[in-house]
Amino acid sequence: MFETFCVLLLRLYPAGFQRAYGREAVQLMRDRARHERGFFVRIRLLLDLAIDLGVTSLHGFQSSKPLLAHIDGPPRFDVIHMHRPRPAALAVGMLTTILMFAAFTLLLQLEALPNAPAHLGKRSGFAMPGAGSNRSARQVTAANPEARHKLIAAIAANLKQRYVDRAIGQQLADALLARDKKGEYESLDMGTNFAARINRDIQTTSRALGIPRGVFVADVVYSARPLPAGPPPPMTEQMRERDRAMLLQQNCLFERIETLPRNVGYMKLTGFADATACQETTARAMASLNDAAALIVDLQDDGGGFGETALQIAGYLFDHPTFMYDPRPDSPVPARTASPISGNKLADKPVYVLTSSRTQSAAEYFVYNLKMLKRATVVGETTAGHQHSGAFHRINDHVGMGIQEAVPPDNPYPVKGWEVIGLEPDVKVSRAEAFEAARTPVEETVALPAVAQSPAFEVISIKPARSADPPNMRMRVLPNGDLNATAVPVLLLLQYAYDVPVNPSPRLSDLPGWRERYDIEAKAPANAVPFGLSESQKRGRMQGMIRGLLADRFKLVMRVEHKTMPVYALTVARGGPNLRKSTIAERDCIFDTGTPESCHNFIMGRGHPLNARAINMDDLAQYIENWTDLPVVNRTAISGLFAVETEGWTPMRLPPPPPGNPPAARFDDFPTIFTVLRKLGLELKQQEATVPVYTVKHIERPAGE
Amino acid sequence: MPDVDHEMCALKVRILMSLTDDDLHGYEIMRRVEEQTDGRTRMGPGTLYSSIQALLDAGFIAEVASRGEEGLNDARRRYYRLTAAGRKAARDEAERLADVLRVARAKKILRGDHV
Repeated sequence: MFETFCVLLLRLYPAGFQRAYGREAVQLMRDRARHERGFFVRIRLLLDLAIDLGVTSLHGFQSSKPLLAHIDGPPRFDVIHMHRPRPAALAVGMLTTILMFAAFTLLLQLEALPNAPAHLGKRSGFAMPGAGSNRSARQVTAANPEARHKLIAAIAANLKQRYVDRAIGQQLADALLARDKKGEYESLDMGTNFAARINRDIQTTSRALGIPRGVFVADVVYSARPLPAGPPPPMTEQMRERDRAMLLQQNCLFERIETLPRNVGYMKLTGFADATACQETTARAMASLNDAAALIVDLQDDGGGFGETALQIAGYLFDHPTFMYDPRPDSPVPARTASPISGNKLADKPVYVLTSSRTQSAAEYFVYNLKMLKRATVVGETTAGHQHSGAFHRINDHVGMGIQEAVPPDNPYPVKGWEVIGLEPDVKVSRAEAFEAARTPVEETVALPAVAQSPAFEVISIKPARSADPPNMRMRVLPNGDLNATAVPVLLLLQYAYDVPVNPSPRLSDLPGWRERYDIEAKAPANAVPFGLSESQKRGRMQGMIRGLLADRFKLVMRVEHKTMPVYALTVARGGPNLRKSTIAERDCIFDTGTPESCHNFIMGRGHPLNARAINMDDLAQYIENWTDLPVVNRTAISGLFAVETEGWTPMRLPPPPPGNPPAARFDDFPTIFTVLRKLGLELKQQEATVPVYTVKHIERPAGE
Repeated sequence: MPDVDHEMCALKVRILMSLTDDDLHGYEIMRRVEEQTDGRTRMGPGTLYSSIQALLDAGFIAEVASRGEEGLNDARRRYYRLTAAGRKAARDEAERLADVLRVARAKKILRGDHV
């Protein structure tokens, strides 16, 4: 009955709708009526139907083409007009379309007319015209035998006349012509496959002639789009201005610049932009990371560009003019960096460069030199090997070739051939793993030399604790950098200074047998913790100062290694995180570890509940690691500060009770950490990871004041 | 009064999203959209099929005769499939919305404070 009523209502819809979708609409209403039962649900269904009927009747129903493409951006859904276009508008639109189609066809044909081979000249950038065009699948070159013979003859002639060693050029050309005569290229279409095959044959012959692997000889390039017929027209001022505006709009190809935790600077480049337009932007980008304790330069998607910009960035990484090898003869890029750069502080900071198989050309020049100079650790995949040092020649509309015409400059470094076969990284990991693989050691590298970089406490007083009662244990780092600790064991200082768990952990071994507690008062020098630093920077400074205290007074010698071991990865559970944003922003945090409500601190409680006003996911991982049976690493990719408040949980491990003390409290009535985290939309997954592992090589009781 | 054009726009994106994994008929699309929006969006037949028609016209979805396995087909229904252009449009729109969300978060104009 209800179904029939709904179906009858559909008769009120516009006729056009009923014609197009009447049958489906009836079926849909039957489905809904069958599934949506109950009085109120059916009232809601009728209400839906009534509103829908009203809207559809108001707007009418017709097939209409939505406006999709915005000229200045990706396709968007736009307002879909419900009015039919007028016939006059249709006629004008059709006429315009025909005219435009005819005009474009004519223009394209003009451009595709055959042209004589032309030398395109040298460029400041590293990219070769036509390079990358191999990606196109469309094969437009004629595939008749005569055209093919002619093309191979032209390639052979170029090799013979232009290759740097004429005798070898002659032999390369002869080998190619001989293969053609034997009919080896008959089955090939005249596109990318053809170019790849010719290149392979040139390489094979080169090897046979004693040219080592990795030495650039020649490279045939196929382009589906017609190659330009002559040297590029001189740039007008207007064109330069347009290019400049476009580059500035793209932030001169600096895709990301940010400061990661522990004050690690991170910059991702998608290319090296033209220095004439981007010199200032590059300088600003480097200045923005000037205070970083270490630098990660992500070149995984850097397709190359202008060597001058690569050299400018490298300039910040040295404190004296440094030679950068460029394989191109007569390169316009200066041979040395402009180091030292006034005010620059990055010259002695650790540098990690991320690479992938897409890292090419000028980016390879940058990576290669930093690696050879032992100035950076290269992490990721072998680079592309596209640092062509030859000149490019157009052979016909769709085929051109790069040839090594001049002897490349002497390469002073032992690793050669990277221009063609790519550069091997120091740490070989996949593209996806490169960032983490760099981040872990770089953060550690940042933490270790902090002893030297951080200011030292001016006055340190260490006395045996007046009360060795654990409940009296307090440790407070004041906003000015002073340390105020009561009844603390040395382990607590180690925990703060090295981010290791307080309970026995595979990440910290060879702890001393003594358990004395101390009252410590240490006074920081003026401005030890400058106002403008971020929380993590302030913490880094204090860690450095406490490491200094440990080295100075406890004679601590700590060894750090990176080991791959089973860990818990803190991840987001299915269904997403259920975390409440903190009301405190990072910039409003008060740096004072003694205040339970300061940022990055947990409020202690029975069963160590996760109670905090403003913590990030790194803090959370580090906190729970105190009681888990494996180290915990943050893999949530969630940033920002959150307020959490959970019940306590059963620790997975606790230190053995001191001799003579009663056994530790029982936590059997608490849930597991897995349950507690699940409520926050998080989970722990067991996996392998590389983590810093500390060994106490030496430590002794402090000598007193 | 709600902005009808805006609603239409959002609905079409929802429909495209509903078709990302399977070919569906009208009622299934409606249910998927309802699930995606936690029951907040229920489409009547007029709204649903107008949107479907617009998406067909735009080439973002295509009607398919059947959806692979024999047992899954119902001769009375029309099935729709997401086209490559539709997938790209949905992705572009999702990226644009993500960008809007990023700005909204930065400006702190979101209601509620959950991530």
